[in-house]
Parts: sequence; C-alpha cells; structure tokens
Amino acid sequence: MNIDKKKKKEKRNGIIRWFIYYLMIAAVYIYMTTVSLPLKTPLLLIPVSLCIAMYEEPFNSALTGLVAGMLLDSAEGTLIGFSGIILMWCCLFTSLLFAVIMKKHFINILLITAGVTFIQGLLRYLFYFSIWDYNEGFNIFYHEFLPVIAMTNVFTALFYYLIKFLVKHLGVIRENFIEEKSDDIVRE
Amino acid sequence: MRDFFKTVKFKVLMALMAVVIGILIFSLTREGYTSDSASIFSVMFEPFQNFSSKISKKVTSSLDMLFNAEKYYNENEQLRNTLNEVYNDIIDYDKLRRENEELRVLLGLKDEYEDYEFSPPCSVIARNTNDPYGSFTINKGSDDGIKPNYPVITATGLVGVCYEVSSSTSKVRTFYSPRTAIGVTTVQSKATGVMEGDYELAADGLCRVSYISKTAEIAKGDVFFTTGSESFPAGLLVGTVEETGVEDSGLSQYATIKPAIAPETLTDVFVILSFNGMEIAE
Repeated sequence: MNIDKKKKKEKRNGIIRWFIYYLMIAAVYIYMTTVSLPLKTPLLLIPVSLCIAMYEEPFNSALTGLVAGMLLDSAEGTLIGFSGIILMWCCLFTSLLFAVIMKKHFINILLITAGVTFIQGLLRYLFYFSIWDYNEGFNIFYHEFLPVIAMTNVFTALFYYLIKFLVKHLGVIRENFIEEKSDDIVRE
Repeated sequence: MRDFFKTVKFKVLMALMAVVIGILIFSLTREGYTSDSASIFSVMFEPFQNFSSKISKKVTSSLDMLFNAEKYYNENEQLRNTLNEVYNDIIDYDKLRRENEELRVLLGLKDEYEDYEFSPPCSVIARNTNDPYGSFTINKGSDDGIKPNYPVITATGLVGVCYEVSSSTSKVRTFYSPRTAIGVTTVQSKATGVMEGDYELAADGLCRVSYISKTAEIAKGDVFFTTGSESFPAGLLVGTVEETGVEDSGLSQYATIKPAIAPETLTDVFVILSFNGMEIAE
C-alpha cells in the first residue's frame, strides 16, 4: 500500500474511531441519566474517558476528559465544570503516563480508574455533602459513594477491552506519528 | 513529557480550563439558572433522554416484575388483608365522609387552588445519578415560565422545588434533601414544625418534622400539610406521622413522617408558577 493511500486510510480510521468514542460517551451519558436499576449507577464516563486517554494523544485525551467530565456534571447534578476540570487533568496525565512510563495493561488502567473515581467521589462528597454539615458523618460516603466507586471500577474491564479492540482494528494515531517521523528521516 | 507542557496544545488546554472555570464561577453567581453554555448538554440530549427514558421504564418495569415477584406476592397478600379490614370498617364510612367534607372546608383547598397558576405537565426525563435524596430532571424550563425555587407538586401533594433551570429542562430537589426546609402543620392538632430531609430516613422513604412545640399533641396517623409561606402555598399534602419523640435538647418534639408521594416513582409533575402571596427570591 503506498504512503498516500495508507495515510488516507489512517485518517478515515481515525475519524471513525473518534466517532465511535463519542457515540460511546453519549450512550453512557444517556444510560446514566435514564436507567434506574436497584443497584447504584456506576459513573461510566470516567472509565470510558480514561481508557480512551490510555490509547490516544494527550491533547485529544484532555479534551475528551473535559467533555466527559462536563457530561458527568450534568448527570450528577453538580456544577458544570466541576468534574470537567478533574477529568481533563486526569485524562491528560493518564495519556502522558501511558505514552512515557506505563505499559498499556489492564491492571494499570484499573488502578488509575480507581484513583480517579476515588478523587472525584471524595471531592464531590466534600463540596456537596461534607461542608454543608448535614450531620450524617461519613455515612453518605460509605453507603453512597464507595459502592459507586466499586461499581465504576468493575466496568473498567468492559471499556478497556472494547477500546483495545477499536484501536487494534482502526489504528492508533501515536503509531502513525512515529511512522511519519521515520518517513521524514528517510526523506532527509 | 515535559515537551508537551511547552506546546501550543497545552496552552490551548489551559485557555479552555480558564473558560470552564469562568463558566463555573458564572454559574455560581447565577443562583440556580444554568448558563446557556452549561445547559447545552441537557438541551442537546433531551430528545435522546426522552426516548431512552421510555425504553428504560419498560425494561425497568419488566425487570422489576421478574426480580420482585415474591415481594409483590407478599404485598398482594398484605393488601388483601388490608382490604378485609377496610370492609370491616365500612360501617364508619358515613362518619369518615362527613369528617372529610369538614376537613375540605377547613382547609379551603378548593378555593386556594383557584389562585394557582400551573406549568404545563412536566415529565421526569432523568434522575440525578446516585443522589441519595432522589432529585430528578423534568422536561420544562424557563421557556415555560419556570424559575429556581418554584414549588413542584403532583395531584397528591408536594414533591420539592426547582433548583437549576435551563431553557428546556429543570432540576428538582425533593423534600428528602436536607436543603429543602418546609413549614408544615397538622390538621388535627394544628401543631406546626419544619419538614427537613435526613439521609438515613430518606433511605427508608421517610422524612422528619422538627421544632414541633413540646405541648403540641401529635400522634401516629396525623396528617401534615404545608403551612404556606412566600415559597410554598398552604394546604399541600405532605404526609402522615409514623413516629413521634422528643428532641435530644428536650425543648421540642419531632415526628417521623411517611410522605404522601414517593419521588423515586414519579413520572409526571407540575410546577406552580404563581399563587397568592408568592414571593420567591431569584
């Protein structure tokens, strides 16, 4: 396959991949706001955005984190931007960590998701419950937040394998970037 | 990694973050009105949420029947017993009817309802994820005249207040929330108190009425209505007393009440746009 065709295909794959990512984010948001089962609703937008960040470049990951976070704010009824900023930074660092230090392994993304959901949950508890002094102590955190954090992490596996499958079949921008650079080197 | 922090892309991200922080601060200063940029998601996803909500309701009710068959069987048995008791009590029917008529006159509900201006019927399109106090989103907003702090009701009684309004949707905080304090009174003894949500009681579908005078006579089964204020009209049914007791301070009584409405099962509500004496701070 010549370079032009390859680049064209990669570009088309990239568009399809991102379209599927955002379709997934929209579907997850609608699920979170409409489906009410007896169990706690997991904050699926967090593992989705972090799993995307694991495979994509930092800028796009951070933007996706910002969008997913703002949708999470809309779903949770928190101030728009609260989770947006948290997820933007978390996705940015996740992307950078996987690009430089970490291996793209399930355990790694599971640990990161656990950390991020815990931080987001703790900050939400702090600003929306704790500082209002409702006299419920840590009850809400134990009975409402911890089960949600646990449930969210359970779903990380689903999105990890789903996004891994997508990336495998629709190409990775980072690899293209390296190839382009090598092409430049050859041309030079 | 360091190189990325020197790129234009990182500067763009910083600029975006500044914009988001700006929206955040702006939303805080709007006191309940969602800024246009922030409400874009709720407006954008509203039709999908409506569609998904319908599917979800069907799936949830099917799953509910599947998983709770035994519970419903027991409930059915219990209801049969209750029905038998009702048959036994039917001889008191005339007495109850007269009492009911007297109460209606006493409360003047019919007259008072005439001054209400209602919003169009609102459907519950989304429930706030994992909110222990059961807050939800309805499909009517400022375009229909709804403003923050407007009371939300059903034909049965009070549900809560709107707390965040966009052009086409509004978020409703229920009476389960500790942030919704409502003045209430009993029909029987005229005891007054303040109804507030409580996390542990909310989990059992109950609420608490505090600051009831120590000398007031309240008993299980007493009915609480709203007393009426600038924010809530008088005479809206709230619930019945389940349990009473004296506050830890010993200065007043409290009552645990079973609300007349279960917000978690609501599908349609109304917002009161105006009533005599309404004066809501926006």
